[in-house]
Amino acid sequence: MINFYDEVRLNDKVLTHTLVNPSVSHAQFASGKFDREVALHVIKETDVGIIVKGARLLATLGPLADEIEVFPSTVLKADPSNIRFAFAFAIPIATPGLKMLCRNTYDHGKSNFDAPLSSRYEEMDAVVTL
Amino acid sequence: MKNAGIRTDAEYLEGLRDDREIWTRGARVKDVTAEPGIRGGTASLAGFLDRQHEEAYSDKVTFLDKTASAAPHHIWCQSPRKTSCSVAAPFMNGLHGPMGCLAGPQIIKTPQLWPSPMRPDFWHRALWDKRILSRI
Repeated sequence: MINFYDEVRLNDKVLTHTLVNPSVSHAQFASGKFDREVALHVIKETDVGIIVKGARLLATLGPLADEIEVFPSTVLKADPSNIRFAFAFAIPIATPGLKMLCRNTYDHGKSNFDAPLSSRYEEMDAVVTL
Repeated sequence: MKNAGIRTDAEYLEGLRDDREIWTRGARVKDVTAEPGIRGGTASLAGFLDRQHEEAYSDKVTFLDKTASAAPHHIWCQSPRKTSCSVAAPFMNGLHGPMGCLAGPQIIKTPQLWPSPMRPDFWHRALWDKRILSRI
């Protein structure tokens, strides 16, 4: 963690993050559990790291960042079924296999005078899939 | 690029021109710095990073890290960060939160730091910023 912090600060990196697991059921989400059909989860562990697959919500500034931090936004419920969802890492946005699906933009090409906010401050949020 | 210190707007934008896979409006984006609907945000963020080099702001938003290298670094890497926030928040209108170092996002997104169109300094900048006037 300290090395990553130094890497970011010494190279002036712009970060985004993706924190929330998408859900297919409000009841399942309310119970503190997640669905492997959609939520990012570990599918394999190797000697050099973990292999993950699934989706996360919602990387603000994602397309504009250099790296993305992936970790849970809250403490996961202590349940054996949540172990596959318990991980944290950071990777470059350009990592092969990482895909970002942007929401609709608020910047519709108007001038800074006509649209002083959306023309300049479109952060762009994106669903992240791995 | 190791221990490069603060970047310029051009260096930041060039860093975004990689093989990242971004999709919007049903198509893959070739270059986020040129993509309509996204490029405005990249330009604003690049503008702030470039401001780190301006003499009027460099003392407020950067510092020399003598333990790492001779290059200046953004002051978010150091505490207190208040001076940096006071420069960043009006410039970015409270948006573009997760920029800079790890400690950046929540500070810039803190509501009391959000400028709004009700604040005179926002309109002062919006109306007189030479970059904006050139695009009207």
